[in-house]
Amino acid sequence: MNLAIFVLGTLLAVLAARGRSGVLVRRGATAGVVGLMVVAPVITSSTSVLFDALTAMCVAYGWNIIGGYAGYVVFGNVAYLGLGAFVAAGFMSRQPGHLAWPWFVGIPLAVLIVALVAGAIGLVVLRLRGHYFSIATLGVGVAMPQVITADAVFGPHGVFPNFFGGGLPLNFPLADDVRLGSLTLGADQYFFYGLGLCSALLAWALTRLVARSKFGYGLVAIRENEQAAEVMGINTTLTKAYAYMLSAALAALGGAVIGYKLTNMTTEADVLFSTGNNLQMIIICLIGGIGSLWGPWIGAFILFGLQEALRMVSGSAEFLAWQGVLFALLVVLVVLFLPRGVMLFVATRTRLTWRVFARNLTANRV
Amino acid sequence: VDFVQHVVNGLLQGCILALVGLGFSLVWGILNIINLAHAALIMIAAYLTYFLWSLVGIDPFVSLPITMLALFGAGYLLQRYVINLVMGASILTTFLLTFGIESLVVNLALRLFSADTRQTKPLYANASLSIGPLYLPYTQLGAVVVALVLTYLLYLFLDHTRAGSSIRAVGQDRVAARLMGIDIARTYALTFGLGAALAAASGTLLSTTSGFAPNGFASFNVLAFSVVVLGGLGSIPGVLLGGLVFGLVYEFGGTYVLSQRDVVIFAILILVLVVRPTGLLGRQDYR
Repeated sequence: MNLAIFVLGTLLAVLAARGRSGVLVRRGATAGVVGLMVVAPVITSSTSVLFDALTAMCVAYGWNIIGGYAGYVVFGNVAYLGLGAFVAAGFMSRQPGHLAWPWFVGIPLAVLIVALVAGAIGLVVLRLRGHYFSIATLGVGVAMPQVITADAVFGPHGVFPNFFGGGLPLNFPLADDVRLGSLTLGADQYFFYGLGLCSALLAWALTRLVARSKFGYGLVAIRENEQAAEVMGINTTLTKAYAYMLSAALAALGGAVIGYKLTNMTTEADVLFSTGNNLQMIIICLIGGIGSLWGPWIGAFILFGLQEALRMVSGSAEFLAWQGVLFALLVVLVVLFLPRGVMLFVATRTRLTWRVFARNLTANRV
Repeated sequence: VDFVQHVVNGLLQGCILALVGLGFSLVWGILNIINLAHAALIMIAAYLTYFLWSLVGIDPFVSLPITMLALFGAGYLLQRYVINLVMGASILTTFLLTFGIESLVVNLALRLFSADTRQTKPLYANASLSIGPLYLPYTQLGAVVVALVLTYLLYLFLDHTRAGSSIRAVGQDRVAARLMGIDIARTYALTFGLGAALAAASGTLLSTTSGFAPNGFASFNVLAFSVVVLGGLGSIPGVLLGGLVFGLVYEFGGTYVLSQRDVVIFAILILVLVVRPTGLLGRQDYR
């Protein structure tokens, strides 16, 4: 069932993204894909995979803004993903010393704080360009897990004592099942899925807003030629900083929701800050098409649909172990054969033939 | 004495770090790509050394040329037939390709070799040369000799051979080099092969000086980058200097300041990039 939802969702998204289809078709397809996702928990037995796809999509939309629209390739957004989860846990945890705030306060606040942190880091790293910028953000990703365990700040006697655990366990509170009369709506099936869907839709809406705004055109101008953009009167420093903050905020939103569902931050820290998460947001954008509104949506659905299909075919946990290898192989193959992603066929008049792949492969050869 | 011992440890470690940065610097300086698969190459060499020692019984310092040759071949082919395909594309493409290769290798290693920590431990692994109150482990000393010799050999190769000259020519001006009759694709492959061989040497040495596991190599890319940035791109003595500085930082950062080494590296990296982007000994021509 989930596979069917992924396939149908991809097709509807492709229809919604096609430049050639009429306005009515595009709007209809957009409404269709949103409607499909809203009714999904009723028609499928487990929304777990859909939740994974939607939260990953939200994070990928974040990467898309800075890496796609602005052309500043970041490798460290996993830092903000993890940080978002930890800050939200710090506010929401019901353990002693924590604030036990509800999710609708804790998560937005965490997103805001991470955005501000990213703004401060961005002011430094955005002074760099090209290779230097990308590696500096990779450094952010490597350093962040160590920062949140720094005893001087978050230890038992630090500035924020035990905010991130600091030796003590850190947990999100458990979410209760919702009861409507005799009907019980499971937390995993409905509540967390709803949060995931809302964050993905928010990310999509924000991207749509950005892509059509002066700010968004500024980002594209920076990507194409930063100096020219500056001459044209764009405040490139500020524009880049906002893009970086927005990107981190979406990573934090996705991360906080993922963390909320995982619950135990002490044991799941490695999962949140993993290279897999870092790679995933990039591969989603890459498959779909970097720097486009529907790219991350299509990419996420294809990636997780593929995953679901493989799991059904292999039918064992053995497959999960090989997932990292498959993903990495997919990155290499897509970079070589389809660097513009599926959007190449969706947004332009390029036909899907073997020759397209062959041409892509040899186009940039020395 | 404690202090002097730490300085010595840091300098010994620094020579190996310089070797980590050397291959990275060569590939970056000549090919103008950041090779994010560098850490993966180091890892492959570490495992190759480990298995040659544990299964066949070859001493790591004897197997060094073997791993270097093997990785040279692998690097040459990788550049010649894969990475050369995207050399004309945007920076994002080369980044993603090497990033993809890196995660492919690391994930494969995790599946094949498990996440267990291993170390190549020949009989003399725990023996040390003691000079007065100072202790110098033999493996560390051997590693330093290898690192310095290889650095000097690279310098000689680039400066005094025809192939070395063509590598430098391509690094300076690709178009002009092509007009002079240099085969760009093969020179790129040769350069990447050399970078891989140097990565192999550092991997071999690292496998003897400390324990390693597939996912422990991730920070070596940032480290190599930082070493090169600190020393200055395009300068072999610069890489050596950068390595030594980071060796000391590692030793003292880990001992006195705080346990968060990667944070320290990152802070230095940012500071250097913002204050002096060309590094301490940066230059245009590669030598």
